Amino acid sequence: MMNCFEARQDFVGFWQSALGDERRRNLLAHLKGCPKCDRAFRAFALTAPMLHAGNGATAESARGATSAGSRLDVSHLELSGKLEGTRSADAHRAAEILRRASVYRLADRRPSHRLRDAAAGFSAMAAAALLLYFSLATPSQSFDDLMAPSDSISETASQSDTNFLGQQTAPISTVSYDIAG
Amino acid sequence: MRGVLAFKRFARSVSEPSDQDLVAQALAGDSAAFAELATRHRSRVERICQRFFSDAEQVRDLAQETFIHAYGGLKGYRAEIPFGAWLRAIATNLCYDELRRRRRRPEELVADFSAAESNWLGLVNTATPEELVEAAQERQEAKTLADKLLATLKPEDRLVLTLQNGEDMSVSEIADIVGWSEAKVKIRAFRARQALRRQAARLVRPRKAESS
Repeated sequence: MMNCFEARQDFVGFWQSALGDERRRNLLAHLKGCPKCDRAFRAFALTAPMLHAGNGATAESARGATSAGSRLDVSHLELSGKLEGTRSADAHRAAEILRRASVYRLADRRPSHRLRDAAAGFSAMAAAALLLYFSLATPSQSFDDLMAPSDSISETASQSDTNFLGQQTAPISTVSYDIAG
Repeated sequence: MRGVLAFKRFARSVSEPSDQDLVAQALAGDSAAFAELATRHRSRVERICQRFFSDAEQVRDLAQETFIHAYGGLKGYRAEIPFGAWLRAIATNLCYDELRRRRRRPEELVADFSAAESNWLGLVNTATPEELVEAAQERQEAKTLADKLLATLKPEDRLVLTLQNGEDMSVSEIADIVGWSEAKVKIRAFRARQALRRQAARLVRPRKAESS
């Protein structure tokens, strides 16, 4: 019977179908009887597609790329988290070359973003100013004007409750609300 | 057939200028030479960025930044290093910087699973080990879920595992690119694997032992 350490050593071999029949049987028997190793194997299965998936083409190209075995010195590029740190003239020139060559059709450093943001901010401020102006502006009618009975108001008020579109209707008081009749 | 391919390769190597020639021309002010270099190496640079980020626009931006940095540092490029390797180092460092800038929080993980990934997770919790091995081969979501787990790690852990497992780089190659000692790369890789397995274990339900 396999112990837990041996079982976990065989996870990779089992995943890559590289175990012999007997070891494979032993591992499966161990996993069946050991909940801890079973859980560890399932966690392993979640990570294995990334950690234990071979990629021949990538590996080949990666090895070929560093066949010279020289140490790479990229310190002169100041790659310390400052994308904006590149000399701006060179950066714009490089972006222009890439754009012209259609390597990256939108190959610029998006200078228009600042302008666009500024325009959006200006529009918002203008809208807010207009809103403020109209909410605080002097009313066109004074309080007395509003209180004086205008013709249209008096006409409306003088209309009989029983006159609806020129026809006489029953006064509200005569309508029976007794549903039962 | 193989002979024809070899002849074509030979003919191309004779007719096309090498990377070193193009670098020399670019340094002399020939912008078309740099454009040719960018065209040649674009897919490789983008593939490296894809190892770190799935968003296509992000990948394109980083690849573009790589070429912009390369152009700015072309004077410092040494011919004894293959140009592709030099570009790869720049791309890797830019991706690492970007990872440090936008680290994902682990609690976002489960909410981000697609239906297919949740399905795969369900299978991992219920299927037998043999079924799991078979199913993982044909399911793309097994890979995408593993990538999401990777995305929850610290940027340096993610960097090491991506270069080691995605790009299949050796410890010394990683040390060269990121400027760490080999011992640091080894320790970081070990800790990164442990952290990844811990994250994965959080998604696995404990089971009772079966009586055989």
